[in-house]
Amino acid sequence: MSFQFDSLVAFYAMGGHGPFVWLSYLFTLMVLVWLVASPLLRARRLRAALARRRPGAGHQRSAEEKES
Amino acid sequence: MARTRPIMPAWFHRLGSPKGFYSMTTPWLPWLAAASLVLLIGGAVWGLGFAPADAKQGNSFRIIYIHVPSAFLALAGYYVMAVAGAIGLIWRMKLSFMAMKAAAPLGAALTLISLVTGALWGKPTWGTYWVWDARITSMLVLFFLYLGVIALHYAYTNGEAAGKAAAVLALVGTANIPIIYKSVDWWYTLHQPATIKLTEAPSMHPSMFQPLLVMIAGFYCLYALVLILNIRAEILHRERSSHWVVELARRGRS
Repeated sequence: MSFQFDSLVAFYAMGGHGPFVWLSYLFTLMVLVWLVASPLLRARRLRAALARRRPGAGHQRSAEEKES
Repeated sequence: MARTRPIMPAWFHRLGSPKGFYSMTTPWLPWLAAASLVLLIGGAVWGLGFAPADAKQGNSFRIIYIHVPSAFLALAGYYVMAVAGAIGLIWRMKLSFMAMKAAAPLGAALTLISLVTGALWGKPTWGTYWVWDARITSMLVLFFLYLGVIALHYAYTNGEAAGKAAAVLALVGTANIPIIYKSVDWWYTLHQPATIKLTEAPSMHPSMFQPLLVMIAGFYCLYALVLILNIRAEILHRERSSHWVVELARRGRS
């Protein structure tokens, strides 16, 4: 198993298919990062809203908790 | 409907209760995150730089390492969503409707990845980004089915009613899955036949096939991670008035 390209320039160019290959991987990376980040951010928002609530305030809903 | 079923082991009941699921999955998260990171980065570097180029397609073939795993998980994820919906309808398990809701945006994102990477692969290979052929059109239908399940959750304010409606849609939509699988055999299509078949040896050389397996394993781990993260966020939302969630938020740590 060895590196298939003569140079880094050749690696970027991918024999003329570079834009298609790199755009595919870039798009995938962006979607996957969004997939992981969005539930983490949502959980943080929900917990922050709950922590701010006064003890014994019961079922008063804040704006954050009403999301979705 | 809370019948006691002593035949089921204790972990099943823990998994079925939101609180049990939450505490049970906490230690799984770092392992799943590490496994997905290592497999996805390793597989991508291997596939992009070290796997040999395809004799006919050249380097555009390297898109296979994200196209096939994402399509694979988009289909498997539909089963996860439909089965979770069915369990919710039949046994009224709270958590299964949450799992169904959690699987919908995840599946939609993976379907979108497979459609976009397929288009970008199609241009240099077939000369066009898009054709209305059986495989591609049925994948587009899959994308809309996922969007439908998401939309139904927004349409109802009542979580229970939303779950029921979305579960019915998800179950009806399973009819599309065998059509997708078989589309490359049933209809004349530009799309190449399946690369991986359970009953036959792979049609690829091992040096191309091994990184693909690594990427599929990576996508599986990431799928499990995101599904669990989505369910946990949903639990925090739906159980926000229960004591343990309020305590959890006050303590500030997971």
